[in-house]
Amino acid sequence: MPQTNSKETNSDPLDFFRGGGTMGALMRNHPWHEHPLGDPADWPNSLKTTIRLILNSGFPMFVWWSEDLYCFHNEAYLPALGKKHPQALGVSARVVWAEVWEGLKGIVQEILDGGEAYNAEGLRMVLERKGFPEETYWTFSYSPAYNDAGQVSGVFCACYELTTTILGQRRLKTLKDISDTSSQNQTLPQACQSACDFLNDNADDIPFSLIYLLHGEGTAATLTGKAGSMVPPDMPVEIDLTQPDALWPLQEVLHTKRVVVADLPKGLTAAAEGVDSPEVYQLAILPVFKPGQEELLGFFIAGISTWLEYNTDYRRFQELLANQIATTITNVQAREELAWQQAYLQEVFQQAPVGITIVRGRDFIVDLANPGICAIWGRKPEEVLGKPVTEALPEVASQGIMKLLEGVLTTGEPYVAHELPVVLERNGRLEVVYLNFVYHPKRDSHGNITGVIAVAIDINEQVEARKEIESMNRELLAINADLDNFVYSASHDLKAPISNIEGLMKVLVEYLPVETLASEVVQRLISLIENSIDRFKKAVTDLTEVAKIQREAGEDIKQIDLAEIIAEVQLDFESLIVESEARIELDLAPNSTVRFSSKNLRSIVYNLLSNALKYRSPERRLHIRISTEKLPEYTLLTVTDNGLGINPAEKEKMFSMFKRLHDHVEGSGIGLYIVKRIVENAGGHIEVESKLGAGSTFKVCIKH
Amino acid sequence: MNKLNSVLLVDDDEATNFISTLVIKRAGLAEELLTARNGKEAIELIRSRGSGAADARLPELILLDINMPVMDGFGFLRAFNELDFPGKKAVVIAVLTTSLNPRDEKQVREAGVQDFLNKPLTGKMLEELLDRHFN
Repeated sequence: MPQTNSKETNSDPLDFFRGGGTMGALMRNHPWHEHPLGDPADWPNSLKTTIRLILNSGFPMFVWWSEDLYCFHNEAYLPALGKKHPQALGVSARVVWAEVWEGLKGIVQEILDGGEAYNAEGLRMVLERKGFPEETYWTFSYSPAYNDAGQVSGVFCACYELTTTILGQRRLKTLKDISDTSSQNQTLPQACQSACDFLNDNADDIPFSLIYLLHGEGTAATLTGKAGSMVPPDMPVEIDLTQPDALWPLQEVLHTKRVVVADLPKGLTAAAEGVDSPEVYQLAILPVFKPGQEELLGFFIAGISTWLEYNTDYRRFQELLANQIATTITNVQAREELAWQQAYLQEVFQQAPVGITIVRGRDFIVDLANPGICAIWGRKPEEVLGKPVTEALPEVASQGIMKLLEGVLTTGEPYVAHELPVVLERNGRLEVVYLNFVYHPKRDSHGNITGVIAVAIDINEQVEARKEIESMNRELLAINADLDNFVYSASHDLKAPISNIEGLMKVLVEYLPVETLASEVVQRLISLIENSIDRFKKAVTDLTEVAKIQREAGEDIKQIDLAEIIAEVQLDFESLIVESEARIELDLAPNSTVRFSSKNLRSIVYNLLSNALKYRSPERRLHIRISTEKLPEYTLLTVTDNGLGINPAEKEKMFSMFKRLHDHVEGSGIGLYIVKRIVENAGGHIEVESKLGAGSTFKVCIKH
Repeated sequence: MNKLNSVLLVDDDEATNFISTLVIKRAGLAEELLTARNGKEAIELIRSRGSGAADARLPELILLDINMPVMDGFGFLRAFNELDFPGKKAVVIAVLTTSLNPRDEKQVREAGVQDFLNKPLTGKMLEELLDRHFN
């Protein structure tokens, strides 16, 4: 086939603009006839070839052609041009990149002069592609572009924008720095200032920053962290959130809980610290929330760099910073809380009125010993802390204490000791100390037993006091027994002579002459002597009765039905009941069985009923109510009458020996004393409620 | 009233013995009234009678005090129970004391005492005693 045919198929002189998307179209339609380069058909082949290459590449590329460096670039390069597109096509690079030409012209001239290619990686360039000087980063290669004669006739460039990557890395570093040091801060101001210091290191992103923390009821905020250069330099420290005209619109953030972007307040200028930092015009106020919660902790005010586009990435970065600040604050608060709790616990341990110690590990090293335990041990804290128990308290090692500790450490079972006598070296000598104590296993967060917590109380005083009481009690019991024995033998010994006097008197009367007996005086004498003998005998009998209660206590104790005893005693008084027309009302619990001496129980009922009958009121018909009731510990026997009653002031005397509060009736005054002794000897008690002229109620509590 | 042949009074107390003797005599209770001042004397007296002359009568009733020197009532009862003589079972022993606690009462009852009297002895008490045991 003739070659001309093939030439003819390539006859479109602008075929080198083919492809290339919008840039291809733009080049084809450019008014080149008005351009110094003239008709594209006449352009050198080398230029055409280069343009074809550029247009068809997906990589950002351009060529600056001729001494005048006319710009030809592809679609992939458009983001680098920004607002310079579409005017930049065919215009001299010196004009298009005027803002950075100072930095570029040397490199470009060297290439035009036949120098080598120039490669740059991640080079920072402030470009005004978006209508403002913008911080950008590029990796590129400037290489010579040749004309058809093989002479350098321009600059060819393949490039790649790294702005997003570099900014991303830079921001990530800032976040990481704040996060890494988060655990080192002890106080909130320290934590907030530390965060601001790291932000200051990244002033390109955050030219200035302020952290305000809420306090009180959330009605005020305090400046807790600050970075950047402000004029005037003093920022408000306290902001009252209830007042509308604060410098910063924190209120809006408080209410909306959203980021507010605002202009810098009038009269305030701000920039990053250091010379030549661009001034800041805008700022973002971000709510600082407790992580994962709605609770607002404070506000993060971040200056927005004028050299960066305030895009999604930038906003996202600020939000992440607010979150990181929140985490840092929460960590500090948690540590503060923990520290407070530890201090509180320590305080509790120190102040506790009991002995507390914590011993660690198999050697039972004393980690904690509060003043209480030191007092029990008779040691100073410095003598025991950090030492194994066997060294701190060598005297206890042989007393089984180590075994108890080992038991708790091995089994995890707490050990409770009650009144354990422990020999301790106190005040330079061995003393027996009675202790109540608990050994409790101390566990770590995994539940492993790491030591033993011991809480001990020195009960020496109580034990000694109790022993004293016990000894006094024994003494008293002995005295009491002696007294009872004395009363018993005395009453017994008195009986013989009075019986004799009685017998002798009777015999004497029989031997007296009739005329003597007839004498009124003799009759009177005999009668008085006989009365005295009777009273003597009665007194002796009562005394014997009283002595017997003690001597015979516990002799015939058995289960007895109170109801039966009541019925029996009623029978005893039958004639008196009939004669006095007394009405007796019974209200007995279904089971009124008690464990008691049958004779004594009978004596109780007998005396109470006898009193009720004896001391009845002549003004009304006698009504006696006898009831029993089963209580948890006691069986309650109640005897109520509507008799004479007594003055409540004389209640106590009622139960005294030989006290008679009414003297119109026979009685030795021994009955209630005996009842009281019987009841109390058996662990119960008796009480009386009485009203003069209205009646009495006796309540007897009998222990089950 | 059935009169008894012989009554033995065992008591160390002079006044008691004086009263009891008078009361027994006035009541015409016994033809013979023996007295011993303690258990030992009483046992010796019984022993001498039990093995002695045929006309020596054994007491049919013994009025026994408990609290005595040398040998008390308990001692007497033990010793008496060890004696062996004809007609011993017919002997009635009554304790005559001022008072006796239940424990002692139980003990002497088991030792063979059949009755209990409280001092001072009276004619009426004797009458009732005879009714109970010698009817």
